[in-house]
Amino acid sequence: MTSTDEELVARSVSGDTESFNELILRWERPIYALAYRTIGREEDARDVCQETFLRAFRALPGFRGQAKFSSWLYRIALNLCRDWMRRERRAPIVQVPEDSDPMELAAAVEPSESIEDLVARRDLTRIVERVMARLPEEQRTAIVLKEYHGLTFQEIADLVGCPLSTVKTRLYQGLTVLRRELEKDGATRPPSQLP
Amino acid sequence: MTKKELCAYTTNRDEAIIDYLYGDLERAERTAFETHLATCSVCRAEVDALTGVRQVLSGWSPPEPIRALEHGTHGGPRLVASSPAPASTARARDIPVWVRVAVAVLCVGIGLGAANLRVSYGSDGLSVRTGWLPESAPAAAASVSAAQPWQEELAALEQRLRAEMRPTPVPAAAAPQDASSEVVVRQVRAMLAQSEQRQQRELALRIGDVLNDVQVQRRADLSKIDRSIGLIQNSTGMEVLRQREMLNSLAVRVSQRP
Repeated sequence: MTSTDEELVARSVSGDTESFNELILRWERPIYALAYRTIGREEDARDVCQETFLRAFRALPGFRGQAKFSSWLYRIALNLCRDWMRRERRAPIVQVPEDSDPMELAAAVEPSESIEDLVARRDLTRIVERVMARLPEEQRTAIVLKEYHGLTFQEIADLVGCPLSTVKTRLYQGLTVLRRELEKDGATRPPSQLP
Repeated sequence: MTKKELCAYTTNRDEAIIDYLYGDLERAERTAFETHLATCSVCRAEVDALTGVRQVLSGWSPPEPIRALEHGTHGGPRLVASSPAPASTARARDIPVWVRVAVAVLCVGIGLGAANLRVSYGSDGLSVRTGWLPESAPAAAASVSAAQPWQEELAALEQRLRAEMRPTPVPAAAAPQDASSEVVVRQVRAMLAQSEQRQQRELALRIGDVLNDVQVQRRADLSKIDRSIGLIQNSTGMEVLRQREMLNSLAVRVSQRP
């Protein structure tokens, strides 16, 4: 039977490192994805992800379970992302390779996906990364947490420390900016309909 | 005049759109908003556009978190130190396990050879002796003299054989050391050869897989090109036919003129 996060946390606090490793296994990918989408650099996202778990591990004895473990972890990761952006004093960097490496493309191709589809998907990813990087931090964070992590509006409000209505406004404004930017790039249609 | 001014929705329109997009409206609110959408082209267009944006966003997947955390032996990731590992540690981690094992075996073997370790089990129990300890010659002689005559003969034969096997004067510990080192080196070489063979087999398998993939992709591309060429040929043929018919009709008309 799969243990809940809270059970694993309780066992980790009592010194069971395997339980904490289980938590890492469970949350590594979402935290990395959050960091990557927020700061846009693979290397730094890895550092943020690692630092998030290190901080969580150190602070685990002080975790009283007022919030969900995942929310607590997201908060640590978001704070680290904010620190990173303040330190770098710039918008997230979008790493877009100049030329697509055919070998890399071939390695990433799904069995049912043609090279053309893959290239279209890559192009779309680049466009999304570029337009997301242009968004203000608050709007980007709201979109990332809602779209990719499925948090409720209330959870986002608690995480970022703002009223519920502000979260919705940020989301609306962010999506509107994205719409405008994507229309400029001609990418507002869903991926399946893209050339 | 903005789009919002054209819309007559009374409550907070932006929030309502967001709630609707993310399915966060109560049933009654949802019905009310859908009723509004049915009559308001501005809101309908906006909801459609933002739905499209969401669909585009869904195609954005981050790269895999490679080496974000170190994976342990049980399949689970483990925390690694935040400070960078020393270069030597990092290098050592990059060396394959089999090489590390081979080197360890080699070191132990050379050490044992250098020590000229001898393990024997006799009437006086287990004894371990190394080449660093000098052999107790007087004690051995005393024991020989006290033994039976056949034992004396045996000892003499052993000495003679030893003398024949060592025509040149060499240090006492050198021969066993060389022999044991050679054995270890042979074992390590055998391990290396096995490992190389295994790697070559794996490489061959992977190359085979890649070639298969390339072949499959090539066939798919060729059939796609073939289909495209067929379509182009068809349309070109149709066009040629059409033009020929036009020319014919023109020729007929021209010929019918007085």
